[in-house]
Parts: sequence; structure tokens; C-alpha cells
Amino acid sequence: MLIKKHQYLAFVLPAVFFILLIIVVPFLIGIYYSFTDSNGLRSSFIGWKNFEVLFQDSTFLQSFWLTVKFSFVSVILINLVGLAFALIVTSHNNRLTKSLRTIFFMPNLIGGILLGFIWQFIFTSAFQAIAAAFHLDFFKGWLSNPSTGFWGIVILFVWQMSGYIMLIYISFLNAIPKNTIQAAVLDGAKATQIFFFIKLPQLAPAFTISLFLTLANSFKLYEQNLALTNGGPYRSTEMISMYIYNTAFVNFQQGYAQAAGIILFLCVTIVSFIQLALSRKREG
Amino acid sequence: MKKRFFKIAKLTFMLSLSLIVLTCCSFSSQKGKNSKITLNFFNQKPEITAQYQKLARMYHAKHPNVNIQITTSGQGGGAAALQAKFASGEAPDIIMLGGLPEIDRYKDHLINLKDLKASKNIVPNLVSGGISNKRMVGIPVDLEAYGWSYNKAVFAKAGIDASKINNYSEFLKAVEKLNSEKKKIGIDAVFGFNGADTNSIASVSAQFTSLPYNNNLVKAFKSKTFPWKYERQMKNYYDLVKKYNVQPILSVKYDPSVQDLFFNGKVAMIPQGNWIIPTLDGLEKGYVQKNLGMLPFFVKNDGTDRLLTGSSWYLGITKDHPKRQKAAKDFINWMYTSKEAENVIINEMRFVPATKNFDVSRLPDDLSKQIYRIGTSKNAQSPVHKQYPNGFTNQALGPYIQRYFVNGISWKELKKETSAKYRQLREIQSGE
Repeated sequence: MLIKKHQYLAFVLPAVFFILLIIVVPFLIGIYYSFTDSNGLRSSFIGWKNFEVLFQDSTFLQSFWLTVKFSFVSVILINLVGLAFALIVTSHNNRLTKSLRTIFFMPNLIGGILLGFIWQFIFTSAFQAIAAAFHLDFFKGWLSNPSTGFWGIVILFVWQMSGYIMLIYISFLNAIPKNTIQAAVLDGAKATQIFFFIKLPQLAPAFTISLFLTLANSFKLYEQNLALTNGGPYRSTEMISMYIYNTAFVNFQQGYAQAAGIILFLCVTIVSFIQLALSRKREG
Repeated sequence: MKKRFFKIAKLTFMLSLSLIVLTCCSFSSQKGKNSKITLNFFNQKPEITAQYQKLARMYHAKHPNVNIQITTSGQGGGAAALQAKFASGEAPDIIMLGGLPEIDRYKDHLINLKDLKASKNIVPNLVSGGISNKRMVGIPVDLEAYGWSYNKAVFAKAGIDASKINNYSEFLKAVEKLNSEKKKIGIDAVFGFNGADTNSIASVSAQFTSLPYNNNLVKAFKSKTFPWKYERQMKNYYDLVKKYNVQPILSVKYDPSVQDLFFNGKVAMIPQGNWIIPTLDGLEKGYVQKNLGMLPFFVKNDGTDRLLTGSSWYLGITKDHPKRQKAAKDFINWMYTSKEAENVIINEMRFVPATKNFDVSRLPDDLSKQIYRIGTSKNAQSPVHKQYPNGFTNQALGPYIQRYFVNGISWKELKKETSAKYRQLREIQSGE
């Protein structure tokens, strides 16, 4: 009996130790540093000043708002595209849909930095060539003004994430009992009716997972932002993670950056909890 | 029986292996004691890594027990990489630092260089750029000139004599003439201002912010406000650039602006200094002597305007490894006082030395000679853009001026936002 009890501890303790060491302790130290004027080498306690200045910092508020906008747009688009992909590849079971599965998932295998550079090439060189060949102003100067820069990052992120989200939807679509669909077909339901009244309600848990994943990821987006626009033009596409990085390692206001990080943490936590609570309710 | 034999064989094998490992270890540690020193040199100018490596090799040939390991990290990542070195306990022995804000960050690690042979010879008005708490902790890497680089061939085609441009209205006339004869002289636009690079924007801004500090870089570093004294002229120049630049201005980047636009004579002027010399001569031998000239900004506009001359980078020695300090000092002395090192610095790095009493005739081109004369003259002026708070260039001034260039912000708003950001950055950054 005693041995069994200790066995349990022996399995759990190493993991607990590392989680404490790598996540919990740095997190607590981070909270402390958000009340200092640390520049990475020296620091002294300055109370709530970082937070006071933060809420008057137009750049912080601007990049925060940009991140909220970005998350809203990309969460919706990624889930729509991901679900559409999933429906396409599960509609039939032939060689085409199998290869499509791979193709849709492929972007997710490439790292964010690389994707950023690939799309930078597409947006600047390829789009420029299209603009020149067909005299289409729409394709001119992408990434060089704030709105196309924003949509550039959205397109890149949707392209990268929807393949991954598709996988989640596929597994849930496949888990839908075939007999419910067959029964609906027998009752004379149309394809759209089957989708909205049979499949969609049974996909609720998939939405919970996918929304959570996309929301958390889009709030924390950094490397795609860095590689594609690096915040430009004139910091108009600088999202919150990049703002925090630049504040810490370009401005060397690491205490201040830490304070911004704490705010980001609180926001992501609150938004995720609300979203989880809402989706769970619908699932139930 | 057989089993046992294997067991013994295994054991002996393991033992001998561990013995080998142990002897290797002790051997290598003995080697380490043999008074060999490896100096770590942290360089933030990637374009001259090869030349520094050459200097390191030359020094090693003369002092076989001193090895110099050069680590290079630049183009934005340098400052963060350096901090990572310090945080991980691997502080380099010699570090290259850009401006007083960076020097201030490491001031507790830097030793006083006042008694160094190399420091005694530094051009006087560059000294304050390496001072922290009244201690001289940095010595300038070179002497750089800030102004407009112009293409002599383009000016000649338009029939403009640069030596006759001595005030703003004459400069304006020349610009308008170049613009009206754009087609004839084959230029795309008068200016090739690289609006994409915040660093170039900052160095140009120094033309209008440096005069109030009159070479006192410590004062510039401590200033709590951004100096707007010459804002009228600042706005004039920015408006001029906006009007006569290659468009879209924010898409013009540093490398193409030098290597294509300027080198191929597609623009008449770019806002760069003598740091473009190696690039231009690398593309075509003798290009600089033939084609490159520099014009000052006319800020006071009273005939006393000169090219600004200063040093963006300073070298310091850390006290983290006391045993290696002497070797580090010797190496720096050698770099700044020996003829062979100077030859590499002036002929291969194409630097203008930051030392007094240098024989001007040794410099390989006329522009470098001119810069040395201006930089060592009585009325030389140092630019202050390296003393702006950390991040001010990339995070505030640069983006706001970029916005101004594309009419995204009015001059009044620009002033307000820039001043506020300057104050905020100074306030939150710990320092003196």
C-alpha cells in the first residue's frame, strides 16, 4: 500500500518539478518584474507606474486593438475555411480527396518564419507582376499600406491554420453516426438541411476545440508578423506580441514589456474562459 | 563460465573507456593552463567582420598565446544578442557599443580606459560619446561624416558646381535644376532617400537636433526633451525630400538605394555618409575618388554649416574576466597605434581614423581626407542620434516620420507624438 502511494508520487513529482521550474517560477518572477523598471540587467521597484503609463501609451492601445481585430477576423475565417476543407475531403472517398487532405494540411508543416518570407515574395513580387501585366491596381503595393498589410497577415494565417483545424473537423465529421444521416436522407432531407440540422449540432465539441485553438494562437501571433511585415509600414501592423518583444529587446524597457505581457495574459485567459463557458453550454 | 568471461570483458572495456575519457579531460585542462588566452570580441558591424578577423590573425601572429574570437551580431539583433551574452554569464572581453544608452546599460561591467595609450590620442570632440559617470569607458571606432552623398557625375551633367552650394537657397536651386533636367541627365528622381530604414531617418534627424548640444553627448543623452530648435529647417528638408524623392518613398531600402540608385546614377543624392565607401568601391574600383562627394545640411544657414562628424560605435573592455583585461588593453592599443593595424583600418575597412595627428596623406581618397580635416577642426559637430533613448529611432521617430512622408500625420501631430514618446522612453528606461 505504502509503495503504491509512493509510486504515484514518483511518477508525478518530476513533471511537477519541471512545470514549477519552467512555467510557474518564471511566471511569478515575471509578475514581480512588471512592477520594476528593469532593463534586463538592473531593476528597481516602481509600483504601478508601468501599468499607468501603459494605458496612456497610444502605440500599445493601437497594437492591442489591432490584435483584437485580427483575432476576430482570423478566428471566423479559419474556422469557416477549415470546416469547408473538412466537408470537401469527407464528401467522397477517392484519390482526389485523399491528396487534397495532404495539400490542405501542408502549409501547417512549414514554419511561420518561412511562410512569412514565402508570402512576402508573393505579395510584393508576384502581386507586382500581376499588377503590371493586367494593369490591376488592386494588386499594387501590398504590405506597403496599413490595410493591405493587415489583410496580408490574415491571409497568411488562415492559409497556415485552416489545414490544422480541418483535421479536427474531419475527425468529428467521421464520428457522426452514419445512421442519423441515412435516416435524414430517407426522410427526404436536402444536403443543406443535413448539414445544418444533422451535422452541425453534432460538431459542437469540435467548435469548442477549434475556436479555443485559433483564438489563443491568433492572440499570440508573432513570427508570421515578423517575417511578413515586421510591423511595417510605420508600425501599423505591429501586433501585441511584437510590441512586447520590441519594448523588451529594442527599447530595453523590460519591466514595462513585462507589464504589457501580464495584460495580454489576463486578456487571453478571460477571453478563453468566456469562450469555453459559452461553447460548453451549447455542447451540453 | 562463458557468461562470466563476458562480464569481465565488459567491465574491463568500460574501465578502459572511462580511463581514456579521464586522461583526455585532464590533458585538455592542462593545455588550458598553458597561459593561452582567448579574447572574446563582440562586434556589431557585420560589414567589417572579415577585416576584424584579419586584424585578429595579424595580432595572433605577433602574440601567439593570444587568440581573438570575434562574434558578430548586427542589423537590429546586436543589442539583444549582447544582452543575452551578459545574462548567460559569457560576457565578452571587448564589446562594441552604439551610443550612450547602450554604454549606460553595461556601465557596471566596463572598465575605465583613461590611461590606455589608445585613448590619449582620440579626437577630442568624440570623447564625450564614451563617457559614463565621468569615466571614459568607450573609445570611438572611427570618424563618420553625416550629410548628403552626391554623385559628382550627375551634378556635372546638370552643370552644377557643388562647391558653390553654400546655403539653403542655393541647395534648393540645385535640387530644382536637377529635377527639371531629370530626363536629360537620366535620373529617376533627385533624392534616393531610403524611407524604409528608420536608422537613416534617425541619422538625418541628427542634422537638426545636434547643434543645441554642441558636442556634449552626455548632455544629449541625459536630455529629457527632444530638441525642436531647428524644426523649421527640419520640415523644409523633409518636405523637399517628400517632393523630389524616388517613390514610393517607404519602399526604398538602404542596399538598393546605395548599390543601384546611387551607384548607377539614377539619383543625384542619398542621405548617407562615408560608410558607403567600401560598398561603392567594391562594385567598381576607384568609384569613390571619381564620383562621390558630400554636401552638408544647411541648418543654421549662416555659412558655418559643416558635415556632422562623429562615431556611431565605441569599443569598451569588460571587467568580467580580470585575467584577460591586460590582453584586451594591449590588443586595443595595437589597433589604435600600430601602423600595420591602421593600414588595414584605413585601406580595407575604409575608415577615417578617430585619432589625432594622423597623417592625412595616408588616407586613400579625397573624401576621407576632407572628412578627417572637418572632424578634427575646431568647429566640428557630433551628431546625437545615437544618444536618443533605446528604441526611440525604431519605435517612435522613424515610424512618425514615415507617416509624415506619406501624409499620414501632420507636422504638428508629429511633433506632439514624437515629444511624448521621447519623454516616455527616457522616463521608463532606468539609467542615470
